[in-house]
Amino acid sequence: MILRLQMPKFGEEMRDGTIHRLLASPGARLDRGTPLLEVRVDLSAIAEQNCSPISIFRVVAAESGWLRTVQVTEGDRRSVGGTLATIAERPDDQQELDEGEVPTRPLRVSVATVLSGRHENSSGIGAK
Amino acid sequence: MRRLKLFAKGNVDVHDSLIYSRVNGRIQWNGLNTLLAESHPGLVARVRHEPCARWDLTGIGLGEIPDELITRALPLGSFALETQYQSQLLEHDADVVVLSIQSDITNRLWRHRRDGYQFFAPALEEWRPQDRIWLEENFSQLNRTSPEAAMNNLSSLVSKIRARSNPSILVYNTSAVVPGEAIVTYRGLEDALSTRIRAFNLALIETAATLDVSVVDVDHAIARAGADRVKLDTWHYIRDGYRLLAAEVVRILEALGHLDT
Repeated sequence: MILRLQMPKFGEEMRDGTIHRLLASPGARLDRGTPLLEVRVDLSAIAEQNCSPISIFRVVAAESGWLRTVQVTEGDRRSVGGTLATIAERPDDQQELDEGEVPTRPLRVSVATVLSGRHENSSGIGAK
Repeated sequence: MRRLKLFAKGNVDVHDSLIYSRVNGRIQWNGLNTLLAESHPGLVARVRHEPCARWDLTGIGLGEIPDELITRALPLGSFALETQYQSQLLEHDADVVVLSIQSDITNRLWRHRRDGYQFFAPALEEWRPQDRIWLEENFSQLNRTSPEAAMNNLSSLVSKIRARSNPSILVYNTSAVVPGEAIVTYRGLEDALSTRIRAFNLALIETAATLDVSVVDVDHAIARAGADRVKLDTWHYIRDGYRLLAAEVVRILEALGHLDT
């Protein structure tokens, strides 16, 4: 069975997110707790202020699988629900989806805000 | 009209709750005096504010701004060199000093490899490439501070304040509820920001008791009101959230006798 990793909705106001860091590559074995990627969420469009409302969320797998395809690169922006990657439940699952076939369900994930290693001082808090 | 003098050294939490919060160019919350006007019409708070890079970089007793930093003219935004090295905290004869743990939770400092001084370098993506190269070549980025180290720095800061005067000291903790967080297990998320916030909040309780300073319990006030209702993200609140924080400050000031007529 092929699963999809989709852009999670981190809060009511979020409309889209930007891929901040990719943490896994195609072919990688995923276990519960494997970091997949980090997403930068900037709510300035709805609440612009001096100290920008920017958060970095890390998405980690909450179930096992094999990462088949990654459909984004760092810096890409995707809407909530957009497909970011596909995951096979078993290593021998077919390598390509047939035309018109869609992944069956979203991959189960855990998400939390982190102080990311990249530009972290700009992703936390500011002042006035 | 009686004036209560506050010196707030902190970032978005203390500024936006005590002074004002502006969103999309409009003031959404007008600060502590909004509440005082309702409850204590004969009293006005004069709040002086400075950003805080971190408690161990408060600019107290650190001396002059390093020449190398002055000549670089770096885009430091709110964290101008004066606020990092020449704080007015001890020069301002305040009735109340307000601090916050926010900057110690998030901010990492850089140390000059040759001269040893420390420096906060915010918003690196806005720096010129040559300045980022200069930073990497001349400075080492330090690890995040631990709760224990941060509390030692708070103790040191409180000692310096009390060596000169005896204001009431209030310290904001931070709401650990992060909108959007959904954790199944903590594997892979051992460094979740909400966990770090909780560790700092716990450490602050112990230190505040030892130092006899007041904790502005942001975590409690926000949780009681419903974090999803008043928080925009980890650090930002809507109007009602900032009002809750300011109300908590008013409650403590009242209990300490600062609002007595």
